[in-house]
Amino acid sequence: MKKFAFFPGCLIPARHPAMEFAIRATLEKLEIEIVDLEGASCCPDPIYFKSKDKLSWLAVAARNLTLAEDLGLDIFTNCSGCTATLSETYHLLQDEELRDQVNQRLARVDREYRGTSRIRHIATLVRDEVGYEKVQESVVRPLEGLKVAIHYGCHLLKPSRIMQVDNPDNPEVMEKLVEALGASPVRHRNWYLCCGKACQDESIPNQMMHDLLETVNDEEADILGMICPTCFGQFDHGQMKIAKLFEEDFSTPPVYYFQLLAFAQGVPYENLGFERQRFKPKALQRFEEVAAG
Amino acid sequence: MASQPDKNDVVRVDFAFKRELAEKVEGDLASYCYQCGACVGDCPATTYSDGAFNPREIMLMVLYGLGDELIREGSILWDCTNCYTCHERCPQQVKPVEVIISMKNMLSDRGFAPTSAEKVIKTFEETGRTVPPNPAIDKQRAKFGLPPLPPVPMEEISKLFEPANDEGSPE
Amino acid sequence: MSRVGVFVCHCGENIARNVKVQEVVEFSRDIPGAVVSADYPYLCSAPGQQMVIDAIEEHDLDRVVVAACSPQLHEPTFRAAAAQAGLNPYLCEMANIREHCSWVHRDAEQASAKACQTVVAAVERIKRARPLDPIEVPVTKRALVIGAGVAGIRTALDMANAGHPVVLVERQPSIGGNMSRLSETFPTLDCSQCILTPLMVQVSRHPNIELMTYSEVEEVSGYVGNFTVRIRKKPSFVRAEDCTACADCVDVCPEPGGNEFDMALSSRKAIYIPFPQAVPSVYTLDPDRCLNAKLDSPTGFRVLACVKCEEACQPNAIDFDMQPEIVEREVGTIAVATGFDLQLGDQAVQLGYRRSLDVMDGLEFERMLSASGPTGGEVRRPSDGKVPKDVVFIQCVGSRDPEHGVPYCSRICCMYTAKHALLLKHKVPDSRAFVFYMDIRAGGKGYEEFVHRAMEEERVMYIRGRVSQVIEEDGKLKVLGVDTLAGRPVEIDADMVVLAAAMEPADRGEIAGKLRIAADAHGFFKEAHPKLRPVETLTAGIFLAGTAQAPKDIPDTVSQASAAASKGMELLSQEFLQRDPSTTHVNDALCAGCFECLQVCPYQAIERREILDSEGVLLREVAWSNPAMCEGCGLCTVTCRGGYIDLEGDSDEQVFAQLGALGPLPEVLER
Repeated sequence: MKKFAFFPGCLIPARHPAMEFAIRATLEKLEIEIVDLEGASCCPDPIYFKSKDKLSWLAVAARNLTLAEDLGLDIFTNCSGCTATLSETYHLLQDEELRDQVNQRLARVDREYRGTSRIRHIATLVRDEVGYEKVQESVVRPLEGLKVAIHYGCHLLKPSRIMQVDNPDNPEVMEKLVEALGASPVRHRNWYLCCGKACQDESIPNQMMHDLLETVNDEEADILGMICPTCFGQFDHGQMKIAKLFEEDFSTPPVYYFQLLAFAQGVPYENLGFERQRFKPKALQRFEEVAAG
Repeated sequence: MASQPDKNDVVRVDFAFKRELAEKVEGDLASYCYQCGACVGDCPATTYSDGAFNPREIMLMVLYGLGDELIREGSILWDCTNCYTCHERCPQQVKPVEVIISMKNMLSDRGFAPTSAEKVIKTFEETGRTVPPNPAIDKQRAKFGLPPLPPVPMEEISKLFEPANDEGSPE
Repeated sequence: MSRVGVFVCHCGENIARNVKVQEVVEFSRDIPGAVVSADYPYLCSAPGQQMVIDAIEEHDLDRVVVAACSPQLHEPTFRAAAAQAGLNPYLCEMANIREHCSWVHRDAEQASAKACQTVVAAVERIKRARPLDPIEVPVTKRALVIGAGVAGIRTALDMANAGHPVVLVERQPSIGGNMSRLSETFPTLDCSQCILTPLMVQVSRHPNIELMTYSEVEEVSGYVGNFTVRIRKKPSFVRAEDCTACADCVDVCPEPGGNEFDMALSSRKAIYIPFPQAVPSVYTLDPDRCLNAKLDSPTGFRVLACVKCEEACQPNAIDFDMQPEIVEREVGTIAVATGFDLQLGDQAVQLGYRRSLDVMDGLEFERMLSASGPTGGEVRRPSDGKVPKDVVFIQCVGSRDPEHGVPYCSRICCMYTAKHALLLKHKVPDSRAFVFYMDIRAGGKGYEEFVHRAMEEERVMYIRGRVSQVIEEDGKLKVLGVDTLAGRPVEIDADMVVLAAAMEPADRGEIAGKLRIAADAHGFFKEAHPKLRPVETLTAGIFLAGTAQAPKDIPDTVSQASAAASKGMELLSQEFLQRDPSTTHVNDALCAGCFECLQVCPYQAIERREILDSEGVLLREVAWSNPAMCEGCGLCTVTCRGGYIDLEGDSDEQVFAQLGALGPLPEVLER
C-alpha cells in the first residue's frame, strides 16, 4: 500500500468533518495508507497570514513540511489553499538564499527544511498514484446521468509554473475523476471564474458568483463539484446570500468530490453529512435505490 | 470601495517606498513589467470592479514609486482575488499577486489591514488554526468517528514569527 | 648571427608622451644582434615605411622589429614593407609599446623601462623565427547553396550569373520557400508569386545551376575551398523527365490529406504538386501518404495494392521502384539559407488556436488571402464559410515573451499585420479590423507610411495592449484584451482572430551539426560578427543568408543573399587561397598517438595518419595537423604532453627566448 502524510489544514477538520470522513473512507478503498502529521498547524493560509508577513509565513509553512520530511513521506492536502501555500513554499525555497533565511528561523526550534517531501492535492494524488481506472473499479453504484458542473477554483492549477498539475486553460483532471464515477461532467461557460473569497470588497465576488452560477444553471447541472472547502463555503452559505441579494434561485448544491466518491463507493447518503449543507444534493437520492451490492 | 487619488496629480517618485518594497520577499519583481496589459483582460477583480482595481496600473504605480496611493487606509490592494490568472498571462514573470502581497505586508506593518484579516491572523497566532477549537467541533467530529482536534504546539510555532535581532530591518 | 633592425615609433604623442623614445633607441643599439636602431614620428606613414625599407636594403638586415602600436593594426603594413625590401614578411615582428605600455601606465620612467623590455623580448623572439611562405590551397570552382527560398535563389542566381557553377539543394519538392506562400508583400503590395516565379524559372533554366529538389544534404567534409558534400535525392517515384504535369494521376489517387503548402487549410492527394507554379513542374508521390506504404514495406513499395496513378499516367512517368540516390559534389564555398517556420508559443491555446477553427496564425491567413489558396482568395470563416465582418489581429504572439515563447522580436509581424488588415479591408470593404499591439516597429523604407495607410485610409483600429484570452461563444470569438493608453479593458466579439506568430529557424540543428557551424540558443545560425561580418560564419567558406540567421523581411533577406553570394565569389574568383602559415606541425617520429590534440582542436584541423612499413603493414597511427584548416591557436601545442607539436612563427624556442629576455626592470636598465 502506498503511504502518504495527510496534511489536514484548518477548515475541513473543524467545519466540515464529513469531508474528512469521506477522504479517509475513500482512500482506504483505493488502497492508500494515510499517516497523520502530529503537530501540524494552519498551513498558514495563503490569503490572510501571508499578507501579514511573508517570511514568517514561509517559516511556518516550512515547519509543516519538515513534519513530513521527518517521516520520509510525501504530503497530500485536502484544500486548494493549503496546496497553494505548501507548493509555493517548496518552489520558493529552492532558492538557496531564501532557504537559508528560513532555516535560520527554523533553527530556533531545532528544525531544518530540506525540500525532500513533495506536495500534492488529494485529487492530483488520486490521479497520479491510483489512476482513473482503479477509481472506476471502486465504484459500486455508478452515478449514471448525474450532471456535475466542476468548480476548479484557482489554487489547484495556478500559477501553473508552481502547481504543475494540469493545463489551467483547459484542464481535464476533475472531468476524468467525475467520469470515473459514471457521472457526466459539464463545463459551464464561466467555469474559469474565481470564487472571490479573498477579495475584501464584497461587491466583486457577489456579482462574480452570480455570473458564475447563472452559467451553471444554463447547463442544468445537478450538482457543483468542489475540491476546496473555502470555495465550498462560498457556494453553500455564499450561494444563499447571492440568491437573496439578486432574488434569483440557482439551486445548485455544491458537493466536495470525495463525498461524492464515497457515495459512489456505497456509503449511504445519510452518513455523508449532506444534511448540514444549506443546499443539499437531493439529486443523489435517486441513486439510493440502487443497492450497494 | 475606497476613494481613488486624483490621477492628474504630478508624479513624485517615492524612493523610500520602492526600497522598502524591494526588501520584501518577491517585492521587486515589478521592474520586469513593460506595461503590456496581458494581466488585465481576464482579471476578475478588474472586470467586476469596473476597472477600479487594475493590476497593470498597480504595477505602474509601483514602478513610479507612488507609495501614497497604494499604502494607505482602505487600499485597493485588498480587492485582489488572489486567483493568479495574471501570473498565467504575464510574459515577463512579474508575478503581480506576489508584488501585491508584499505591499500588503507593508500595509500590515502600518496597521492598515482590514479588520476581518486581523481577526483571522489573531486567531492563528493564538491557536495555530484559523478556526479556533471548541467542544462543539469535537462533538461533530465524533459523529463521524473522528478524534477531537489535536492541539497545535504554539509555543514552538510562535518562535518563528518575529524577526530576531540579527535579521536586520523590520519586515 | 642575425642582423636585426629596431625601429621605434613616436606615434605623435601617443607613445612619446609616456615613453622616452630616445632611451629606447639607445637601449636597443646594445641588444645582441641589433645592427640598426632608429626612431620616427609616424612609422606607418609612407616616409616611415620607406625608412624601414631603405634600412633593410642599406644594412642588409635579415630581421626587423617595429616598436609601435598593436600588430592588430599595422602588422600587415610592416610585413608588406619588409616584403617590398626583399625580406620574408614573417621575419618582421611588432613590439607593442602603445596599447601595452604608453597608454596604460603613468610613470614615464617605468613605462620607458617596460618599453625597453618589450623590445628586447621581441628581438630575441624574431631572431629565432624562420622564413615562412603562405600556404596555398586550391579552390574548387563550385558553390553549394542549401535552401531554395528567396534567399537561396538570390544567392544562387548571383553566383551563377557571374559564371560560377552552383549546386542548389532544396528539401521540398518545389523551390520558393515561405515567400511563395504569401499573397502580397509589404510595403508595395506586389503579388508575391508574381515577383518570385520569374526568379524561380531563371533558376530552373540557368545553365550554371544544378538544381536538386526533394533532396537533403547528408554529410559535409573538408575545408574552405575544398568541401565534399553528399546529397540524398529522395525518391519522388515520378520520373521528372517524363512527367508532363497533366494531373491525371491526382484525379484517380484515393488518398487525400492536409496540404502543407496551404498550412493544412486544404487537402492534397498522396501524389501531388505543391502549387501550380512549382519549380520544377513535376509531381511527387509522398511515400508517407501513399496507400502502398502502409502495406508493410520498409523501403520503397515492395507490395503494390494501388497502382491507379500508374495506370492513369499516359507518359508512363510513375516508377514505384525509384530508389533514393546519393550524389557527391566537390564545392569551394557553401551558403546556408534554410529559412524559418512560425511558432505560436504556449499562449496559443488560450487565444483560441485549435480550439476554434476561426483562430489562425499569420501564414494560415496569408493562404486564405492568396488567390491560389484554399478559398481562392476570399476571406471566409473556416467554421461555417461565412464572410467575417469583425476581425481581430493580435501582434507579438510568442515573440517578446520569455515566459511563454521567445524573448526576441520577430521583426516582420507589425508590418504583415498591417498588410493583413489592409488586404482584409480591400476584400471585405464593410469589415472592421482591430489590431492589438505592444509597439509598432516599422523601420524600413516606406514602412511607417504603409502602417499609417492602414490606420488612416482603411480606418484599422489600433489598440495598445495585450489580449489575455479568446473564448468561443455562440459562434463568435470573445476577445478579452486591454487598452493601456485608455487604461481600460476591451472586449471585442470577433468573427475571426489572426495571431502574429514568432519566427523560428526551420533548421533544428541538423544542418548546424553537419556543417559544424554555430547556432545561438534559439537555433539561428551565428554570424562571425554581428556588426562587421553579418553574412559569414566563423567557419571559413560557409556563409549565411536570410531568416536562417535572424528574423528579417524580404528586402533584408535579398540584400543578405547577395552579400553571401559576393563573399562566396570572393573565394571562387581566386585560383588559390592563401592561408596564414602560422600553423602547427607534429613531430611524427615522436608522436605517441594519444590524440589528445585531436580532442582539443576547435577547428578539427588534426587528423589521424597511418604510418605504414614498406609492405603496407600498419606500424602506428600518429597525429597530423592540416595546415589548410589550422588557425594557429596553439591549443594542441600545450596539450601535447611530450611537446611534440610546435607552432610555426610562435615556436617553443621563440616563446622561451621571449620570456628569458624579460628579466627584472633594474637589470634591463643597467644594461
